[in-house]
Amino acid sequence: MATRVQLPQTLRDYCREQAQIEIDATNVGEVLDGLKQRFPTLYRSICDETDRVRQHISFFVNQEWIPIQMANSRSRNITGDDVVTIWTAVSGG
Amino acid sequence: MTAKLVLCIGTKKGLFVAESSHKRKRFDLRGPFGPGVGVNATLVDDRASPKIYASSCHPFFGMKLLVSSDLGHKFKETKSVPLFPEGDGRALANIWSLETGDNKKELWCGVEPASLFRSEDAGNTWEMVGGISNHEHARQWHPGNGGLCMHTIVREGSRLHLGISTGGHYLSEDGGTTFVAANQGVGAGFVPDPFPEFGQCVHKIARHSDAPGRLYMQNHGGWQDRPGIGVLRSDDHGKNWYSIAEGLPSDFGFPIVVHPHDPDVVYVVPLEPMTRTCPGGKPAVWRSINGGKSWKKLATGLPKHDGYFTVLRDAMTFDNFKKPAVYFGTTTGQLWVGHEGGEQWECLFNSLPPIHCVKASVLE
Repeated sequence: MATRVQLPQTLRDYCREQAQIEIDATNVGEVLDGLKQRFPTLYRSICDETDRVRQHISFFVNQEWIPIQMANSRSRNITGDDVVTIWTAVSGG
Repeated sequence: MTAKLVLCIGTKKGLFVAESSHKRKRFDLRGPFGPGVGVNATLVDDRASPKIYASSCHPFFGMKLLVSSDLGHKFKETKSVPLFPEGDGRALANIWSLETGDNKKELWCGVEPASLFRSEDAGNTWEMVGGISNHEHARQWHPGNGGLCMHTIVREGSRLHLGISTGGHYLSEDGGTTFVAANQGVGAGFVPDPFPEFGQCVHKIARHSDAPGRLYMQNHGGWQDRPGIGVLRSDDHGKNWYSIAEGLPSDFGFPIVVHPHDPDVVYVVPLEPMTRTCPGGKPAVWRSINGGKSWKKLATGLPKHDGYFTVLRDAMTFDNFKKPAVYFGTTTGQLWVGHEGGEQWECLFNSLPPIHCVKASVLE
């Protein structure tokens, strides 16, 4: 069962204006892999060319914040019932 | 057809485009494009149908490159941006310089961390230039306050001059294939060796096509114990440099620009080195009409006191009318125009976001 991935308004230009997409994934890392394959420009806005998640991006699984910039966060398991939300962190100036 | 003057103003909060007739009486402002996102480099490419480019340095989603084909009414993203190759280990942090190349669609781009990229299709695909990006010195360069940036690309026929902060001046004499550090006479005040082979904090380099071999440099000066290293000139394509700072109130500053019709006329904006603001709160541009032998203060129309702004390295430029005007933008969001060679200053815009870069172009 595919996992629902919700995207912020500011990134929807890169995925045909979809607020939510579905990706077959068993962990957070596979969500990123799926994004890279299906929406490379969207993926590049989330990860740099070394595949590190950009500093000001936040990941949530349901209501749980995932420290996605830490490599071991990618192994966080998910199921088809989970909702992964990609959000922009509160920072700026 | 009447000529239009187009000013591209890169700010902390996006790109603004101001348009005027040749009279420069009224400027219509539009923008911000790439709203809310800093623009560190802009380029008006008028070689064919004019295009405006602007880097859009998004702190959240990475770099974008914006392009407009209608003189800055609408912008879209190019199909790609410079990206380091897989396995390189570096990641694009900022786009600092954009220049045109020889071929109609050729562009050069200097980025942070200091590297050079080249596009042959107007910015839709990019290739890293290994001769400088993988230079044996590249992993020994250090970031300055603005990051490890390649901020200057100066083309001179088959020669290519690059300014890197902090890396120094690098010269290619084979069209950009190989590079050597060319910093003889370029000092540094922040390392034990006052004149290292490389690693200087070059702020900007400028040239004029009518003076082959001559270059002007604003280097990181302002060192009491190492005077005379801030404002420099070379007459041999950058292989040797000498000070032209005598007569200036400070040899610290960021921009250096050359008059579009006279290679002997050069402008700087001296700053107080500790605060990096106008000395004594009295802003002034300084002009030399003899290639740096002497300097004149130009401050008529500028604030007489309480002016503590900074003019960043790419925030000063000329238009290229027969009687050109000079422009500078400030970190306090003012855009100034200097008429009559800078003898008379006028504030065009008073409340823009902090200004990073300004480019002017006259388009038919």
